[in-house]
Amino acid sequence: MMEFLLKKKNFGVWLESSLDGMAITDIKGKILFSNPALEKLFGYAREELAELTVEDLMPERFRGRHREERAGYAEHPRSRPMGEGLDLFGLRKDGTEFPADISLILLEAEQGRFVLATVHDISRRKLAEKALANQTVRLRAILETAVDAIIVIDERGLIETFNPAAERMFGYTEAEVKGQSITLLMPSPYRDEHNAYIARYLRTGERRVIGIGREVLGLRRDGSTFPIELTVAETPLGNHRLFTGIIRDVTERRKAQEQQAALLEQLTEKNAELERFIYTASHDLKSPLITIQGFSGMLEQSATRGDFERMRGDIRRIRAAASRMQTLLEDLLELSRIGRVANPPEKVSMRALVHEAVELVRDRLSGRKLRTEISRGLPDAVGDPKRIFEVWLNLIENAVKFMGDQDEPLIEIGAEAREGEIVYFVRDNGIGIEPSYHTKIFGLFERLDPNTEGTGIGLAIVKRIVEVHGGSLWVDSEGQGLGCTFYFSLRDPA
Amino acid sequence: MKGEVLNILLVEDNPDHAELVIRCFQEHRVANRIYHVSQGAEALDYLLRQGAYADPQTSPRPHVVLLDLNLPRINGIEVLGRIRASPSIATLPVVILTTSRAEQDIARAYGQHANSYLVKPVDFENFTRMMEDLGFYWLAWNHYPWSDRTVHET
Repeated sequence: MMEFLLKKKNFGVWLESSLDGMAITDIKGKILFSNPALEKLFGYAREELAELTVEDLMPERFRGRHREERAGYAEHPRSRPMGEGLDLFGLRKDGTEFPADISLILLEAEQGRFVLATVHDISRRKLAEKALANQTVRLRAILETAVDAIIVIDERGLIETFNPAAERMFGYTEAEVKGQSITLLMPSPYRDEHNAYIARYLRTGERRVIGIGREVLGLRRDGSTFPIELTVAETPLGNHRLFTGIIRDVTERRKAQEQQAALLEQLTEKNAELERFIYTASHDLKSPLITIQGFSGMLEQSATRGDFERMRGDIRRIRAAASRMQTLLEDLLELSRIGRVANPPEKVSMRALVHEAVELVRDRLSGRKLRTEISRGLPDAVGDPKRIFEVWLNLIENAVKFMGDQDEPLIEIGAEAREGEIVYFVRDNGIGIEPSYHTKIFGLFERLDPNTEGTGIGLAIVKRIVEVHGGSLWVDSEGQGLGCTFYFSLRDPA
Repeated sequence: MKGEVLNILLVEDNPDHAELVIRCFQEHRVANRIYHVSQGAEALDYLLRQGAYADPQTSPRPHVVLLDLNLPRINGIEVLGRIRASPSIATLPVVILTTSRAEQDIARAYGQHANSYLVKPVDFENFTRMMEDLGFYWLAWNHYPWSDRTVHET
């Protein structure tokens, strides 16, 4: 009954050869004609299709609504793509579904109204779309969750992508930097290098990516810089190229490396110190041994000769050497004890300790005048009060001991706060110390003047105590006759 | 040759050790005179004839310097370095005499062109024998680079 239509202008030939499935239905949806593509698409023979309506070719869930729409369409028929904004599906004979685009064309003829339906299988396109969406989601997930900053720029260096890690790292949002030059994130001289590179590239076309795989500096929004490790990947995109920079903040790594290096240095220093200690101790203990042995031999010779005067002198030397050895051993023991015996740290009134030490030293001065100026605001410290007292006593004693022939001996004691620590000082106007000996004096058994009393362990002990408390000890003196100031630092308990 | 006397400059800060060396040389079979200083700076003053040591009669040029290493202030190695750097005394024989047998001290001493390195023996017999050999060697056997003081034949 469709012959009138199909004969018209080879319409039939065209329908038959179309790759899309096509059907002509009456206004009620009954299939009057179907082409081979449609048969193949739905898996029905032509005769079977002739018994069906269009609702039979769609999944159950669409049928009710379709009937209603078809009724409306019958009243206001017009050509249109079907199911605008909807994902449509075809239902095959075997019950499987496939996504489809369907368009409807109204055919008006004397015999009545008919509808030409074109069914285009879009399974492949849907699959491709899905794959692409999948890919995009994955890429997005990588970008969103990466710990490293990922920044994509074009050939001119303008930012296209700026992931959340980059936002956190640099302090800008993606929206703020999109389209801006990447140099925004570079401090000098990298910025200038990059600008020179871009200028060169735009002029000559020569391509060269700087900063690949090396550590450079990044510039945050707040103006601070931080060490980064940068790798750049190049992506050709048609005639253009994109550059994907992956940036790692290596501040922590740097810090760890520096800490490691510092620790190693400390260890090496400690080792060297130990070596020096053993060297000095063995040398200084050997000296009195030679004296004792030597003068024992001499004693024998003197005895043979009956030189009693000399014998007395020899015995005196032997005794002195033996007691010196005892003192040295005790000093060594004392020094080694400082590191081992640690009383729990407590709050120490430096003011009280200083006054106590000054009184003790004054008692020993027996009449010699000494002026002391003790700063009123001497901050308290935290540590072992006995040890810290030793520090004050040693330093004040030293100041008195090396006063020389100063007519108006003066000792000033004070403190000043510096970044997290307090630096205490004992200043005198005595004989002073030449700058070349400012390190030597802290060595074990070091005495600049062999005629001064003591073994030369005092400052070594002070140094050890201060270091065990986490501080450091040093001296400042312009030179001989110009007085000197001993400083020691302790952690600020505040 | 003409009853040569061995002049020794002893640089030693330990007065007991200095006394031991001096006494050993007093008993010595070679004629000698020991000039003792206890500090590095003094040693240099002596050798360069400065200050209290300007008079060559009372401070004659020594044949050999016995130099301790562990001196306060200017230590033995520095003294040796300054001797080698001073043209008038650069060739002076210098014998290190120390308690230290530390490798780095030996290396440093020879690095500054010490002529010999001796470690003070703790044992008395060895100490006296070393002093004996030392005096004999430097007076009897050694030839000096300067002309007026030639070898004393035994």
